[in-house]
Amino acid sequence: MKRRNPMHRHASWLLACLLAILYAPSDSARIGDTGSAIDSILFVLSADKPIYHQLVNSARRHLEARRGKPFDTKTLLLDEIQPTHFPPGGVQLIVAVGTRAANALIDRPLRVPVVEVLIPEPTARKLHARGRGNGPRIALALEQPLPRQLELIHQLLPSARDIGVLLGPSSQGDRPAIETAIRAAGFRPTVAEIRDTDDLGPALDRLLHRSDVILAVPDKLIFNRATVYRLLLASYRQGVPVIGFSRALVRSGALAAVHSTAEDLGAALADLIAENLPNEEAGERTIVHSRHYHVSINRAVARSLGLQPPDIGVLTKALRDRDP
Amino acid sequence: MKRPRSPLFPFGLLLFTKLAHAQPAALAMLSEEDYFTATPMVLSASRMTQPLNEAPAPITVIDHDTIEAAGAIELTDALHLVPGFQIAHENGGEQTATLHGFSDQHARRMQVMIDGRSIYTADFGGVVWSTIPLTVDEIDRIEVIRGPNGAAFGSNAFVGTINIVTRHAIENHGVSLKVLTGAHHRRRFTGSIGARLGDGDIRVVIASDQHDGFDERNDDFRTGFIDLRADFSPTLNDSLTFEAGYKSTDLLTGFPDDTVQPLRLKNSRYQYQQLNWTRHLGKDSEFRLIAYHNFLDAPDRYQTPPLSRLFGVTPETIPLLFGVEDQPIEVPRSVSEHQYDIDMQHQFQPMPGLRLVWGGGARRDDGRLSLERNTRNALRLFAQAEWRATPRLLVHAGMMHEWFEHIGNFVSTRLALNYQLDTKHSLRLSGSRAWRMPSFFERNSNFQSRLAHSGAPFDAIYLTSNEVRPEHIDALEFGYIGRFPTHHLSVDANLFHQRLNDLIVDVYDTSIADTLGDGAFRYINDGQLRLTGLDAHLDYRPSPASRLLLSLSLAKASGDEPRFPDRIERVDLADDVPRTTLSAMVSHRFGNDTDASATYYYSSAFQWRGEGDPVDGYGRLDLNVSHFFPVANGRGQIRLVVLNALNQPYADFRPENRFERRIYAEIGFRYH
Repeated sequence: MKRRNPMHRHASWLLACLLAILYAPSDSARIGDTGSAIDSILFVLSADKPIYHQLVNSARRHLEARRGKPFDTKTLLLDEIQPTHFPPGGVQLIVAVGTRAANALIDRPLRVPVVEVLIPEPTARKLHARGRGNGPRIALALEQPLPRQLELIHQLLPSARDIGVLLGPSSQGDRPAIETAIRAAGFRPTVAEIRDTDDLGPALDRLLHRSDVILAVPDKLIFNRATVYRLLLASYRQGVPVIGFSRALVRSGALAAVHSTAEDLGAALADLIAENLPNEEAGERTIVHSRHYHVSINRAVARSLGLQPPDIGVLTKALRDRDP
Repeated sequence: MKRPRSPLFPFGLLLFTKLAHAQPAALAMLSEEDYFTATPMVLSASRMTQPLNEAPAPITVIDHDTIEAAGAIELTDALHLVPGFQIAHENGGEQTATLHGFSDQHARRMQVMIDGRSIYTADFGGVVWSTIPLTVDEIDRIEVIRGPNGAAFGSNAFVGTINIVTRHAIENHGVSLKVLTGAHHRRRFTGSIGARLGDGDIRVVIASDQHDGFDERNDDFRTGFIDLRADFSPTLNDSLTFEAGYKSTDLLTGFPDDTVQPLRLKNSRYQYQQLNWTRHLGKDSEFRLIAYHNFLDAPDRYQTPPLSRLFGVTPETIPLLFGVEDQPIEVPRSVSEHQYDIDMQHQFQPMPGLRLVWGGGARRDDGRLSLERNTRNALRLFAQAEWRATPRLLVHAGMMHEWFEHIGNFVSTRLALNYQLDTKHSLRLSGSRAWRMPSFFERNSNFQSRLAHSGAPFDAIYLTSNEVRPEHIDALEFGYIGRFPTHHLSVDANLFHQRLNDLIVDVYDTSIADTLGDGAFRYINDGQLRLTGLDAHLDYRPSPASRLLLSLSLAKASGDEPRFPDRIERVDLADDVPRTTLSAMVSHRFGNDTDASATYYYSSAFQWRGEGDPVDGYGRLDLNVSHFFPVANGRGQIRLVVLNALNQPYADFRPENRFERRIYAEIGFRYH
């Protein structure tokens, strides 16, 4: 008798498992609120990446939840744009998703407002200073505002006084604002500046000896894949915690961060469209921050530093209680 | 005769389909990438860190989460998820893992490393997995290069390379305890403790494991080990890792009532010490040193009953037959070896777009096989270059020159081109040559049973005397790597053609004169194998909680080897390679505390060499459910693993090693 192939024998079983597991239900949030004057939105994505789609889906869901009916939204990839037919007729608002899209649209004369999302704050400032395009440009910054990050330090490290900040070429211009924010929050700033990665070791050694905690400020030279490991390792070795600006940094070894996910930024975009946009004046360039955020903690790092941070929920509530 | 069209033909068309978009110019500003980056980076293919789509060879990376999701129990289990791998049970306690078949119980055509330390044995070749002091929990990721990689790691990185990267000591702080029990009276205990030590971190793992093996075998297995890893950073630019371990393994081996291989307890001991030092020299510049020592000792020397019982004659007949008095026969099967290795490399970027790594190393293997001692010194020099010729085109060139005492000089090479069609799709074309050094046993085997009273040789089983040269492989490979972010899908496929020449094969030589007068096996260079096929890997994540991993390998082999030294009668090798190997894993996280997975493996029929037999095609479904729960100051985990859940018994190496349904339960606690 011919033997039955075991692959066939198991195929139906496997298919059942696959369907059952892949399509297990997931929950979704619903936020009810007011509507807005904007009816038609065009999303321009920097690339075809899941994170951009996550943001668009989140924004769409939150907008529809506020209004109770579907929004007229279109999505275009930046590389698919045909300059002669841009923007398509009827569009009342363009959302540039990601730095590439914001960069491509900044010089373009447009008659409709542009909101830039998933863009780092220093990059948005640079683009706004450089851009020749007209019309309102509102950047929804990727980072959380400094006061909220400093409040996280208060909550996690109540006895910390000296905050160390390492700045590179692209963040040195922000030094006065950073120092002011740190003082306003009741801390003492210690700032070191480097021009090259070769300066990193000595600068970091000095900074670590004079700081209770390091506040990570985004800078291309310092927080890249090659150097971030060295920075985190050195601070860990000296027992000085690092407060990061992204979840990725916390995973790599920073103690904690307050940051916005793509989902958060989608919700913040919906807030912005529903509440603030109609008041913007033509030509104005603004940077705003998300009121939706998450707190991440690296518990292994906390343990090794002898810290016992409160639950994420408790921390988040403490931060929200102090939100303006 | 008309040649049948290759089953790979449609895939070839698919791979050439142009999917081009303009490559975006890099922005010299901070972008969201700096906040959300998570590109898998690998080290193994060229000694340089490279993203998968820029590596010069096809690579599969199995990370810690995937190993856990698949419910791996043995070290080799996760290799099922790599296209083209076969995992087999030599007995209840020892596994062997090979890429595209063509192997015996010692899969000696593949290099295996742990954190850069080769665990490939010099005596027989291959890896004795059961002697390695490592738990699945300590593994950070397994990088598998599916093709020759001699240009980066020298001889024995022949048809593939496995590099197991263990977790940094900082990742296992606290105390962890695990107990697994289940089929075949398995009892496994694992404990680990990790803490900060001065300026560094340390982790110590102890484990014991025992079971009674296959139902139809007497292969009880018992083992215990201790393993240590310490990571230090004495300065900001230096990282030091020290690893050491010791493992003792007892295995019941042989067969009851078998006079030639009697039932006996075999004890093997393995220990190693390893130091890795990395110094950052500046931007894109790094020096690395790896030094290690491995020691394996497996005494196995036993006596048979007297000759008169072996041959069923009266004691008085023995002098008439063999000219010696009646006495037992001693069979010396002991194996031991020391390996010493030091390897240095310097990586730098001499100009924008060009990265270079070069270095050298020295090695000494000192082994004892049966009653013979073998030593071999070796030196190596290597260089690898990665040149971004255009924004889309990456050119890799690599070369390793090796000198082996008693054997000579050999050069392994590779040239590869990676072409980025756009940010999501890339093609790779590579050609390479690699060598495999003969093991001590192949090169200089003197395996003879001896008369117990006089010690004189009686029956030669294997006799070879320094006459075997290395075998070599030439390979051509064309690959495609694609990411489809909107569909949460990534695909990696490669077509390969390999020509293995001068294969070291054993022939039965009746002219070898021994007391018994029945001849013996000896090794010669005369086999050849052609291997053509497709390996593909698909990773689909429809939601953050769900995942589907598919691996497929289709291979077609042709070739032959001689049966006797006259080389006239040839044995076809086509059946030594399985035509189809498949694995599929579906996993899902329910809520925040329960993981479940189902994994299916399939291998079509093929023929194991050596002590293995022809095996029928077999499929196996494994189920794994883990539930996590909070405990005071830590976390608990209970896990249920069902291997071969459909209970379709199969044999993957020899008929008496029947793998039936096996159920295991594990409970573990981790305290901060």
